Amino acid sequence: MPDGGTAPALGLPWWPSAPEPVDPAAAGVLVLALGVDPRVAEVATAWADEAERVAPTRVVTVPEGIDGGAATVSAALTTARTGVRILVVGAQYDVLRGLALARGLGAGPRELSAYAVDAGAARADLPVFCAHCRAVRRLHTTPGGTVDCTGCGRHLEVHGHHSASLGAFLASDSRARELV
Amino acid sequence: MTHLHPGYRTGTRPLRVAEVRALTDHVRQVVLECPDQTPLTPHEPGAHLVLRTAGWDGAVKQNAYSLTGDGVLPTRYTISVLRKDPDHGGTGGSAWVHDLRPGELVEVTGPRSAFAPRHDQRHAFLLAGGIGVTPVLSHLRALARWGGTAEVLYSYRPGHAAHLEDLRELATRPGLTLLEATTVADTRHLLTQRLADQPLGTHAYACGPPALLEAYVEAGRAAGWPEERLHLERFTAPGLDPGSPFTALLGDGRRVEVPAGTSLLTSLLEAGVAVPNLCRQGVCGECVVPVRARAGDIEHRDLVLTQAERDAGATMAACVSRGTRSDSVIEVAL
Repeated sequence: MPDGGTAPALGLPWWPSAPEPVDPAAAGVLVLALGVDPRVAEVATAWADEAERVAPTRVVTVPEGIDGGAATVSAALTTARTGVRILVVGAQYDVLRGLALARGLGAGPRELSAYAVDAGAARADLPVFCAHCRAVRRLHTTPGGTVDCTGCGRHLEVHGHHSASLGAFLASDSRARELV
Repeated sequence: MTHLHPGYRTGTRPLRVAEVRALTDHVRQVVLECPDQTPLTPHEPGAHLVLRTAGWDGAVKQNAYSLTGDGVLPTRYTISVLRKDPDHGGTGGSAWVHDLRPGELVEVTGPRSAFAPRHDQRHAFLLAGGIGVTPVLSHLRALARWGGTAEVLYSYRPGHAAHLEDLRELATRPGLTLLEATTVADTRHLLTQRLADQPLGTHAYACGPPALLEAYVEAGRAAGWPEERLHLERFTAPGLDPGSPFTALLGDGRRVEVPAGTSLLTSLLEAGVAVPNLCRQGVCGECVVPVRARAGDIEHRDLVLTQAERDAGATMAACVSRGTRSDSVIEVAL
Protein backbone atom coordinates (compact mmCIF):
# COMPACT_ATOMS: atom_id res chain seq x y z
CA MET A 1 0.00 0.00 0.00
CA PRO A 2 1.43 3.41 -0.89
CA ASP A 3 2.59 5.76 1.88
CA GLY A 4 1.08 9.16 2.50
CA GLY A 5 -1.48 10.89 0.35
CA THR A 6 -5.18 10.21 0.61
CA ALA A 7 -6.31 7.05 2.39
CA PRO A 8 -6.69 4.24 -0.15
CA ALA A 9 -10.38 3.39 -0.57
CA LEU A 10 -12.00 0.88 -2.88
CA GLY A 11 -13.55 2.58 -5.88
CA LEU A 12 -11.91 5.97 -5.29
CA PRO A 13 -8.77 7.39 -6.86
CA TRP A 14 -5.70 7.45 -4.64
CA TRP A 15 -3.69 10.65 -4.50
CA PRO A 16 -0.06 10.72 -3.39
CA SER A 17 0.94 13.44 -0.91
CA ALA A 18 3.90 14.37 -3.13
CA PRO A 19 4.65 13.71 -6.82
CA GLU A 20 5.94 10.16 -7.26
CA PRO A 21 9.51 9.62 -8.47
CA VAL A 22 10.10 9.02 -12.18
CA ASP A 23 10.41 5.30 -13.05
CA PRO A 24 14.13 4.73 -13.77
CA ALA A 25 13.17 2.03 -16.32
CA ALA A 26 11.46 4.59 -18.58
CA ALA A 27 12.70 4.92 -22.16
CA GLY A 28 10.87 8.20 -22.56
CA VAL A 29 8.80 10.51 -20.38
CA LEU A 30 5.76 12.57 -21.26
CA VAL A 31 4.77 15.21 -18.71
CA LEU A 32 1.23 16.53 -19.14
CA ALA A 33 0.74 19.83 -17.29
CA LEU A 34 -2.97 20.60 -17.27
CA GLY A 35 -4.42 23.98 -16.20
CA VAL A 36 -2.96 27.27 -14.98
CA ASP A 37 -2.56 26.63 -11.25
CA PRO A 38 0.98 27.77 -10.28
CA ARG A 39 1.48 24.46 -8.45
CA VAL A 40 0.97 22.65 -11.78
CA ALA A 41 3.89 24.46 -13.38
CA GLU A 42 5.99 23.88 -10.28
CA VAL A 43 5.37 20.10 -10.20
CA ALA A 44 5.73 19.76 -13.98
CA THR A 45 9.08 21.55 -13.90
CA ALA A 46 10.37 19.39 -11.04
CA TRP A 47 9.19 16.24 -12.81
CA ALA A 48 10.78 17.32 -16.09
CA ASP A 49 14.11 18.04 -14.37
CA GLU A 50 14.09 14.59 -12.80
CA ALA A 51 12.86 12.86 -15.97
CA GLU A 52 15.56 14.39 -18.17
CA ARG A 53 18.17 12.54 -16.12
CA VAL A 54 16.34 9.26 -16.88
CA ALA A 55 15.21 9.46 -20.51
CA PRO A 56 14.25 11.85 -23.30
CA THR A 57 11.44 13.96 -21.91
CA ARG A 58 8.62 15.93 -23.47
CA VAL A 59 6.55 18.43 -21.52
CA VAL A 60 3.14 19.33 -22.92
CA THR A 61 1.50 22.30 -21.21
CA VAL A 62 -2.22 22.66 -21.67
CA PRO A 63 -3.27 25.87 -19.90
CA GLU A 64 -6.87 25.53 -21.10
CA GLY A 65 -7.21 22.24 -19.18
CA ILE A 66 -8.33 18.86 -20.45
CA ASP A 67 -11.68 19.93 -21.93
CA GLY A 68 -10.21 22.63 -24.16
CA GLY A 69 -6.94 20.81 -24.71
CA ALA A 70 -8.04 17.21 -25.32
CA ALA A 71 -6.83 17.34 -28.92
CA THR A 72 -3.36 18.50 -27.82
CA VAL A 73 -3.16 15.75 -25.19
CA SER A 74 -4.42 13.09 -27.65
CA ALA A 75 -1.84 14.14 -30.21
CA ALA A 76 0.96 13.85 -27.64
CA LEU A 77 -0.25 10.40 -26.52
CA THR A 78 -0.68 9.15 -30.07
CA THR A 79 2.90 9.97 -30.98
CA ALA A 80 4.22 8.45 -27.70
CA ARG A 81 5.93 5.05 -27.99
CA THR A 82 5.58 2.02 -25.71
CA GLY A 83 8.29 2.37 -23.08
CA VAL A 84 7.16 5.89 -22.18
CA ARG A 85 6.00 6.90 -18.71
CA ILE A 86 3.23 9.46 -18.57
CA LEU A 87 3.14 11.92 -15.68
CA VAL A 88 -0.06 13.92 -15.33
CA VAL A 89 -0.36 16.99 -13.10
CA GLY A 90 -3.29 19.32 -12.68
CA ALA A 91 -6.46 19.77 -10.67
CA GLN A 92 -8.47 16.59 -10.00
CA TYR A 93 -10.93 17.24 -12.81
CA ASP A 94 -8.21 17.61 -15.43
CA VAL A 95 -6.06 14.79 -14.07
CA LEU A 96 -8.89 12.24 -13.88
CA ARG A 97 -10.11 13.04 -17.37
CA GLY A 98 -6.54 13.13 -18.69
CA LEU A 99 -5.79 9.70 -17.20
CA ALA A 100 -8.93 8.28 -18.80
CA LEU A 101 -7.86 9.68 -22.16
CA ALA A 102 -4.42 8.08 -21.73
CA ARG A 103 -5.95 4.74 -20.74
CA GLY A 104 -8.21 4.86 -23.77
CA LEU A 105 -5.14 5.30 -25.97
CA GLY A 106 -3.48 2.25 -24.42
CA ALA A 107 -1.55 3.40 -21.35
CA GLY A 108 -1.42 0.87 -18.51
CA PRO A 109 -1.19 1.36 -14.74
CA ARG A 110 2.62 0.93 -14.68
CA GLU A 111 2.94 3.69 -17.27
CA LEU A 112 0.83 6.34 -15.51
CA SER A 113 1.58 8.59 -12.54
CA ALA A 114 -0.63 11.42 -11.42
CA TYR A 115 -0.52 14.32 -9.01
CA ALA A 116 -3.57 16.43 -8.21
CA VAL A 117 -2.80 19.89 -6.82
CA ASP A 118 -6.24 20.17 -5.19
CA ALA A 119 -6.34 16.66 -3.69
CA GLY A 120 -6.51 18.00 -0.14
CA ALA A 121 -9.60 20.19 -0.70
CA ALA A 122 -12.86 19.19 1.02
CA ARG A 123 -14.78 19.96 -2.16
CA ALA A 124 -13.37 20.38 -5.64
CA ASP A 125 -14.44 20.50 -9.26
CA LEU A 126 -14.83 16.82 -10.12
CA PRO A 127 -15.79 14.95 -13.27
CA VAL A 128 -19.21 13.47 -12.51
CA PHE A 129 -21.07 11.08 -14.77
CA CYS A 130 -24.80 11.75 -14.51
CA ALA A 131 -26.66 8.48 -14.99
CA HIS A 132 -29.68 10.41 -16.31
CA CYS A 133 -28.20 12.65 -18.97
CA ARG A 134 -25.44 10.08 -19.55
CA ALA A 135 -22.72 12.66 -19.78
CA VAL A 136 -19.75 13.77 -17.75
CA ARG A 137 -20.22 17.17 -16.04
CA ARG A 138 -17.77 19.35 -14.19
CA LEU A 139 -19.39 19.76 -10.76
CA HIS A 140 -18.13 21.26 -7.50
CA THR A 141 -18.70 18.45 -5.04
CA THR A 142 -17.12 15.49 -3.24
CA PRO A 143 -17.64 11.71 -3.42
CA GLY A 144 -20.57 10.92 -1.13
CA GLY A 145 -21.92 14.48 -1.49
CA THR A 146 -24.88 15.87 -3.42
CA VAL A 147 -24.96 18.45 -6.19
CA ASP A 148 -27.32 19.72 -8.89
CA CYS A 149 -26.63 18.40 -12.37
CA THR A 150 -25.91 21.25 -14.79
CA GLY A 151 -27.31 19.10 -17.60
CA CYS A 152 -30.67 17.76 -16.42
CA GLY A 153 -31.13 19.73 -13.19
CA ARG A 154 -31.61 16.64 -11.04
CA HIS A 155 -30.21 16.71 -7.51
CA LEU A 156 -27.48 14.10 -7.78
CA GLU A 157 -25.84 11.93 -5.20
CA VAL A 158 -22.17 11.49 -6.16
CA HIS A 159 -21.35 7.88 -5.35
CA GLY A 160 -18.04 6.81 -3.88
CA HIS A 161 -17.25 5.07 -7.13
CA HIS A 162 -14.87 6.31 -9.77
CA SER A 163 -14.78 4.81 -13.25
CA ALA A 164 -11.21 4.68 -14.55
CA SER A 165 -12.28 4.34 -18.16
CA LEU A 166 -14.71 7.28 -17.98
CA GLY A 167 -12.46 9.27 -15.69
CA ALA A 168 -15.53 10.30 -13.68
CA PHE A 169 -17.42 9.63 -10.48
CA LEU A 170 -20.77 7.97 -10.97
CA ALA A 171 -23.84 9.89 -9.81
CA SER A 172 -27.57 9.36 -9.80
CA ASP A 173 -30.73 11.15 -8.66
CA SER A 174 -30.57 11.42 -4.86
CA ARG A 175 -34.40 11.66 -4.69
CA ALA A 176 -35.14 8.79 -7.05
CA ARG A 177 -36.81 6.82 -4.26
CA GLU A 178 -39.14 9.64 -3.20
CA LEU A 179 -42.69 9.42 -4.49
CA VAL A 180 -44.10 12.81 -5.40
CA MET B 1 -19.26 -27.67 -16.50
CA THR B 2 -19.05 -29.25 -19.87
CA HIS B 3 -20.88 -27.78 -22.79
CA LEU B 4 -23.30 -30.37 -24.16
CA HIS B 5 -22.69 -29.70 -27.84
CA PRO B 6 -19.99 -32.03 -29.21
CA GLY B 7 -18.50 -29.05 -31.05
CA TYR B 8 -17.29 -27.70 -27.68
CA ARG B 9 -15.31 -30.72 -26.51
CA THR B 10 -11.82 -30.11 -25.18
CA GLY B 11 -11.32 -33.39 -23.31
CA THR B 12 -9.20 -36.23 -24.68
CA ARG B 13 -10.82 -37.68 -27.80
CA PRO B 14 -9.75 -39.15 -31.14
CA LEU B 15 -9.40 -36.85 -34.15
CA ARG B 16 -8.72 -38.07 -37.67
CA VAL B 17 -5.79 -36.97 -39.78
CA ALA B 18 -7.34 -35.31 -42.83
CA GLU B 19 -4.19 -34.14 -44.57
CA VAL B 20 -0.41 -34.19 -44.17
CA ARG B 21 1.81 -31.80 -46.10
CA ALA B 22 5.55 -31.08 -46.02
CA LEU B 23 6.15 -27.33 -45.50
CA THR B 24 9.96 -27.61 -45.41
CA ASP B 25 12.41 -30.52 -45.26
CA HIS B 26 11.83 -30.79 -41.52
CA VAL B 27 8.38 -29.28 -40.93
CA ARG B 28 5.18 -31.10 -41.66
CA GLN B 29 1.69 -29.67 -41.47
CA VAL B 30 -0.95 -31.99 -40.05
CA VAL B 31 -4.64 -31.22 -40.47
CA LEU B 32 -7.04 -32.86 -38.03
CA GLU B 33 -10.80 -33.19 -38.12
CA CYS B 34 -13.55 -34.77 -36.09
CA PRO B 35 -14.21 -38.37 -37.31
CA ASP B 36 -17.95 -37.56 -37.58
CA GLN B 37 -17.32 -34.20 -39.32
CA THR B 38 -18.83 -32.10 -36.51
CA PRO B 39 -17.37 -28.62 -35.99
CA LEU B 40 -14.44 -28.32 -33.59
CA THR B 41 -14.15 -26.19 -30.45
CA PRO B 42 -13.19 -22.58 -31.22
CA HIS B 43 -10.02 -21.34 -29.55
CA GLU B 44 -8.06 -18.23 -28.66
CA PRO B 45 -5.22 -17.26 -31.02
CA GLY B 46 -2.00 -18.86 -29.74
CA ALA B 47 -3.77 -21.91 -28.28
CA HIS B 48 -2.27 -25.39 -28.55
CA LEU B 49 -3.35 -29.01 -28.82
CA VAL B 50 -1.84 -31.83 -26.81
CA LEU B 51 -1.23 -34.96 -28.87
CA ARG B 52 -0.68 -38.39 -27.41
CA THR B 53 2.41 -39.62 -29.23
CA ALA B 54 5.08 -42.26 -28.72
CA GLY B 55 8.82 -41.82 -28.12
CA TRP B 56 11.68 -43.77 -29.74
CA ASP B 57 11.36 -46.33 -26.97
CA GLY B 58 7.62 -46.69 -27.57
CA ALA B 59 6.72 -44.93 -24.30
CA VAL B 60 3.56 -42.80 -24.42
CA LYS B 61 4.29 -39.07 -24.55
CA GLN B 62 2.18 -35.92 -24.47
CA ASN B 63 3.35 -33.28 -26.94
CA ALA B 64 1.90 -29.78 -27.23
CA TYR B 65 1.63 -28.17 -30.67
CA SER B 66 0.38 -24.65 -31.43
CA LEU B 67 -2.66 -24.32 -33.66
CA THR B 68 -2.01 -22.10 -36.65
CA GLY B 69 -5.61 -21.08 -37.42
CA ASP B 70 -7.38 -17.99 -36.11
CA GLY B 71 -9.60 -20.16 -33.91
CA VAL B 72 -12.95 -18.90 -35.20
CA LEU B 73 -15.50 -21.71 -35.73
CA PRO B 74 -12.95 -24.25 -36.96
CA THR B 75 -13.93 -27.40 -38.81
CA ARG B 76 -10.28 -28.46 -38.90
CA TYR B 77 -7.30 -28.00 -36.61
CA THR B 78 -3.95 -27.39 -38.25
CA ILE B 79 -0.57 -27.84 -36.57
CA SER B 80 2.95 -27.59 -38.00
CA VAL B 81 5.50 -29.92 -36.48
CA LEU B 82 9.29 -29.66 -36.68
CA ARG B 83 10.94 -33.07 -36.73
CA LYS B 84 13.56 -33.18 -34.01
CA ASP B 85 16.18 -35.86 -34.46
CA PRO B 86 17.90 -37.49 -31.48
CA ASP B 87 21.13 -35.51 -31.98
CA HIS B 88 19.05 -32.31 -31.54
CA GLY B 89 17.46 -33.51 -28.33
CA GLY B 90 14.40 -35.05 -29.97
CA THR B 91 12.78 -37.84 -27.99
CA GLY B 92 10.65 -39.26 -30.76
CA GLY B 93 7.32 -37.47 -30.40
CA SER B 94 7.75 -35.20 -33.40
CA ALA B 95 9.01 -38.07 -35.57
CA TRP B 96 5.91 -40.01 -34.56
CA VAL B 97 3.74 -37.11 -35.77
CA HIS B 98 5.71 -36.97 -39.03
CA ASP B 99 4.84 -40.61 -39.66
CA LEU B 100 1.09 -39.96 -39.43
CA ARG B 101 -0.91 -40.65 -42.58
CA PRO B 102 -4.35 -39.41 -43.65
CA GLY B 103 -7.15 -41.46 -42.15
CA GLU B 104 -5.26 -42.37 -38.96
CA LEU B 105 -6.71 -41.45 -35.57
CA VAL B 106 -4.82 -39.41 -32.96
CA GLU B 107 -5.72 -38.90 -29.28
CA VAL B 108 -6.02 -35.16 -28.80
CA THR B 109 -6.61 -32.96 -25.73
CA GLY B 110 -7.54 -29.29 -25.95
CA PRO B 111 -7.37 -26.69 -27.39
CA ARG B 112 -5.71 -25.13 -24.36
CA SER B 113 -5.03 -21.42 -24.27
CA ALA B 114 -1.72 -20.35 -22.73
CA PHE B 115 -0.59 -17.61 -25.11
CA ALA B 116 -3.68 -15.56 -25.86
CA PRO B 117 -3.63 -11.96 -27.07
CA ARG B 118 -4.72 -9.20 -24.72
CA HIS B 119 -8.13 -8.10 -25.85
CA ASP B 120 -7.38 -4.46 -25.01
CA GLN B 121 -4.21 -4.22 -27.07
CA ARG B 122 -3.98 -1.21 -29.36
CA HIS B 123 -1.36 -2.83 -31.58
CA ALA B 124 0.69 -6.03 -31.56
CA PHE B 125 4.37 -6.72 -32.04
CA LEU B 126 4.87 -10.38 -32.93
CA LEU B 127 8.25 -12.10 -32.86
CA ALA B 128 8.71 -15.58 -34.34
CA GLY B 129 11.90 -17.62 -34.30
CA GLY B 130 12.01 -20.76 -36.44
CA ILE B 131 9.12 -23.12 -35.71
CA GLY B 132 7.95 -20.56 -33.11
CA VAL B 133 6.15 -19.07 -36.08
CA THR B 134 3.11 -21.30 -35.43
CA PRO B 135 1.35 -19.36 -32.62
CA VAL B 136 2.46 -16.08 -34.21
CA LEU B 137 0.68 -17.08 -37.42
CA SER B 138 -2.44 -17.81 -35.37
CA HIS B 139 -2.26 -14.35 -33.77
CA LEU B 140 -1.71 -12.68 -37.12
CA ARG B 141 -4.60 -14.49 -38.76
CA ALA B 142 -6.90 -13.40 -35.94
CA LEU B 143 -5.67 -9.80 -36.27
CA ALA B 144 -6.34 -9.95 -40.02
CA ARG B 145 -9.83 -11.29 -39.37
CA TRP B 146 -10.77 -8.71 -36.75
CA GLY B 147 -9.02 -5.75 -38.33
CA GLY B 148 -6.22 -5.26 -35.80
CA THR B 149 -2.77 -3.90 -36.57
CA ALA B 150 0.55 -5.64 -36.07
CA GLU B 151 4.20 -5.72 -36.92
CA VAL B 152 5.76 -9.17 -37.27
CA LEU B 153 9.46 -9.98 -37.05
CA TYR B 154 10.24 -13.47 -38.38
CA SER B 155 13.74 -14.76 -37.73
CA TYR B 156 14.56 -17.86 -39.76
CA ARG B 157 17.26 -19.76 -41.59
CA PRO B 158 16.78 -19.50 -45.37
CA GLY B 159 15.24 -22.68 -46.72
CA HIS B 160 13.83 -23.60 -43.31
CA ALA B 161 11.11 -21.00 -42.93
CA ALA B 162 7.74 -22.64 -42.43
CA HIS B 163 4.74 -20.43 -43.24
CA LEU B 164 6.86 -17.63 -44.72
CA GLU B 165 4.51 -17.31 -47.69
CA ASP B 166 1.48 -17.24 -45.37
CA LEU B 167 3.03 -14.35 -43.41
CA ARG B 168 3.99 -12.49 -46.58
CA GLU B 169 0.46 -12.81 -47.92
CA LEU B 170 -1.07 -11.56 -44.63
CA ALA B 171 1.38 -8.64 -44.59
CA THR B 172 -0.13 -7.30 -47.81
CA ARG B 173 -3.22 -6.30 -45.81
CA PRO B 174 -3.55 -2.81 -44.37
CA GLY B 175 -2.11 -2.43 -40.88
CA LEU B 176 -0.04 -5.62 -40.98
CA THR B 177 3.68 -5.54 -41.74
CA LEU B 178 6.36 -8.22 -41.87
CA LEU B 179 10.08 -7.87 -41.23
CA GLU B 180 12.37 -10.77 -41.98
CA ALA B 181 15.75 -11.52 -40.43
CA THR B 182 17.99 -14.38 -41.44
CA THR B 183 20.96 -13.81 -39.13
CA VAL B 184 21.31 -13.47 -35.36
CA ALA B 185 22.84 -10.00 -35.79
CA ASP B 186 19.97 -8.80 -38.00
CA THR B 187 17.41 -10.21 -35.57
CA ARG B 188 18.97 -8.42 -32.60
CA HIS B 189 19.31 -5.20 -34.52
CA LEU B 190 15.68 -5.23 -35.69
CA LEU B 191 14.43 -6.23 -32.24
CA THR B 192 16.19 -3.30 -30.60
CA GLN B 193 15.10 -0.89 -33.30
CA ARG B 194 11.46 -1.98 -33.55
CA LEU B 195 10.75 -2.41 -29.84
CA ALA B 196 11.82 1.20 -29.39
CA ASP B 197 9.26 2.37 -31.94
CA GLN B 198 5.88 0.79 -31.18
CA PRO B 199 2.82 2.92 -30.42
CA LEU B 200 1.54 3.39 -26.88
CA GLY B 201 -0.63 0.43 -25.84
CA THR B 202 1.24 -2.21 -27.86
CA HIS B 203 1.53 -5.75 -26.51
CA ALA B 204 4.37 -7.94 -27.72
CA TYR B 205 4.26 -11.73 -28.18
CA ALA B 206 7.26 -13.91 -28.88
CA CYS B 207 7.77 -17.59 -29.55
CA GLY B 208 11.08 -19.15 -30.46
CA PRO B 209 14.25 -20.74 -29.11
CA PRO B 210 15.49 -19.72 -25.63
CA ALA B 211 18.31 -17.44 -26.88
CA LEU B 212 15.87 -15.45 -29.00
CA LEU B 213 13.41 -15.07 -26.12
CA GLU B 214 16.21 -13.85 -23.85
CA ALA B 215 17.25 -11.28 -26.44
CA TYR B 216 13.60 -10.23 -26.75
CA VAL B 217 13.05 -9.73 -23.03
CA GLU B 218 16.35 -7.87 -22.78
CA ALA B 219 15.51 -5.58 -25.71
CA GLY B 220 12.02 -4.98 -24.31
CA ARG B 221 13.35 -3.97 -20.89
CA ALA B 222 15.96 -1.73 -22.47
CA ALA B 223 13.17 -0.03 -24.42
CA GLY B 224 11.28 0.64 -21.16
CA TRP B 225 8.51 -1.91 -21.68
CA PRO B 226 6.71 -2.98 -18.51
CA GLU B 227 6.86 -6.78 -18.00
CA GLU B 228 3.12 -7.14 -18.52
CA ARG B 229 3.48 -6.05 -22.14
CA LEU B 230 6.13 -8.66 -22.97
CA HIS B 231 4.43 -12.03 -23.53
CA LEU B 232 6.28 -15.14 -24.53
CA GLU B 233 5.80 -18.82 -25.14
CA ARG B 234 8.64 -21.28 -24.73
CA PHE B 235 8.72 -24.59 -26.49
CA THR B 236 11.89 -25.91 -24.95
CA ALA B 237 12.89 -25.62 -21.34
CA PRO B 238 16.50 -25.04 -20.29
CA GLY B 239 18.44 -28.06 -19.02
CA LEU B 240 18.43 -28.37 -15.23
CA ASP B 241 21.01 -29.71 -12.79
CA PRO B 242 19.97 -32.65 -10.57
CA GLY B 243 19.58 -30.40 -7.50
CA SER B 244 19.72 -31.36 -3.86
CA PRO B 245 17.88 -34.25 -2.17
CA PHE B 246 15.02 -33.09 0.09
CA THR B 247 11.98 -34.37 1.96
CA ALA B 248 8.32 -34.13 1.00
CA LEU B 249 5.71 -34.43 3.72
CA LEU B 250 2.38 -35.68 2.40
CA GLY B 251 -1.10 -34.79 3.58
CA ASP B 252 -1.53 -38.25 5.16
CA GLY B 253 1.63 -37.79 7.23
CA ARG B 254 3.97 -39.92 5.10
CA ARG B 255 7.53 -38.68 4.52
CA VAL B 256 8.91 -39.13 1.02
CA GLU B 257 12.66 -38.74 0.52
CA VAL B 258 13.31 -37.22 -2.91
CA PRO B 259 16.85 -38.01 -4.13
CA ALA B 260 18.95 -35.64 -6.28
CA GLY B 261 18.10 -36.07 -9.95
CA THR B 262 14.55 -37.26 -9.20
CA SER B 263 11.68 -34.81 -9.41
CA LEU B 264 9.05 -34.20 -6.76
CA LEU B 265 6.49 -35.20 -9.38
CA THR B 266 8.10 -38.61 -9.97
CA SER B 267 8.37 -39.20 -6.22
CA LEU B 268 4.74 -38.26 -5.65
CA LEU B 269 3.54 -40.51 -8.46
CA GLU B 270 5.63 -43.39 -7.11
CA ALA B 271 4.11 -42.82 -3.68
CA GLY B 272 0.68 -43.24 -5.25
CA VAL B 273 -0.31 -39.55 -5.14
CA ALA B 274 -2.22 -38.63 -8.29
CA VAL B 275 -0.77 -35.39 -9.70
CA PRO B 276 -2.00 -34.21 -13.10
CA ASN B 277 0.98 -33.51 -15.35
CA LEU B 278 1.79 -32.92 -18.96
CA CYS B 279 5.03 -31.40 -20.23
CA ARG B 280 7.27 -32.36 -17.29
CA GLN B 281 9.62 -29.50 -18.06
CA GLY B 282 8.14 -26.62 -16.09
CA VAL B 283 6.39 -25.04 -19.04
CA CYS B 284 2.72 -26.05 -19.00
CA GLY B 285 1.77 -25.56 -15.33
CA GLU B 286 -0.36 -28.68 -15.16
CA CYS B 287 1.53 -30.16 -12.17
CA VAL B 288 1.52 -27.07 -9.93
CA VAL B 289 0.73 -28.37 -6.42
CA PRO B 290 -0.24 -26.56 -3.20
CA VAL B 291 2.66 -26.63 -0.74
CA ARG B 292 3.92 -25.19 2.53
CA ALA B 293 7.57 -24.69 3.37
CA ARG B 294 9.94 -22.42 5.28
CA ALA B 295 11.06 -19.32 3.42
CA GLY B 296 13.91 -20.18 1.06
CA ASP B 297 13.28 -23.93 1.13
CA ILE B 298 11.80 -24.08 -2.39
CA GLU B 299 13.98 -23.70 -5.46
CA HIS B 300 11.53 -22.66 -8.19
CA ARG B 301 12.79 -23.71 -11.60
CA ASP B 302 9.60 -23.55 -13.66
CA LEU B 303 8.61 -20.99 -16.30
CA VAL B 304 5.01 -20.74 -15.14
CA LEU B 305 4.69 -19.11 -11.71
CA THR B 306 5.02 -15.35 -11.42
CA GLN B 307 7.45 -13.76 -9.00
CA ALA B 308 4.53 -12.90 -6.70
CA GLU B 309 3.39 -16.54 -6.69
CA ARG B 310 6.94 -17.68 -5.93
CA ASP B 311 7.26 -15.19 -3.11
CA ALA B 312 3.97 -16.41 -1.63
CA GLY B 313 5.50 -19.92 -1.46
CA ALA B 314 2.11 -21.66 -1.50
CA THR B 315 2.54 -23.47 -4.83
CA MET B 316 5.27 -25.09 -6.87
CA ALA B 317 5.63 -26.94 -10.16
CA ALA B 318 6.34 -30.49 -9.02
CA CYS B 319 8.09 -31.54 -12.23
CA VAL B 320 11.11 -29.22 -12.01
CA SER B 321 11.04 -27.26 -8.74
CA ARG B 322 12.46 -28.84 -5.60
CA GLY B 323 13.80 -28.40 -2.09
CA THR B 324 16.83 -26.16 -1.79
CA ARG B 325 18.84 -28.21 0.75
CA SER B 326 18.99 -31.76 2.06
CA ASP B 327 17.23 -30.60 5.26
CA SER B 328 14.44 -28.85 3.33
CA VAL B 329 11.01 -30.23 4.16
CA ILE B 330 8.17 -29.36 1.80
CA GLU B 331 4.64 -30.12 2.91
CA VAL B 332 2.52 -31.12 -0.07
CA ALA B 333 -1.18 -30.58 0.61
CA LEU B 334 -2.37 -33.57 -1.42
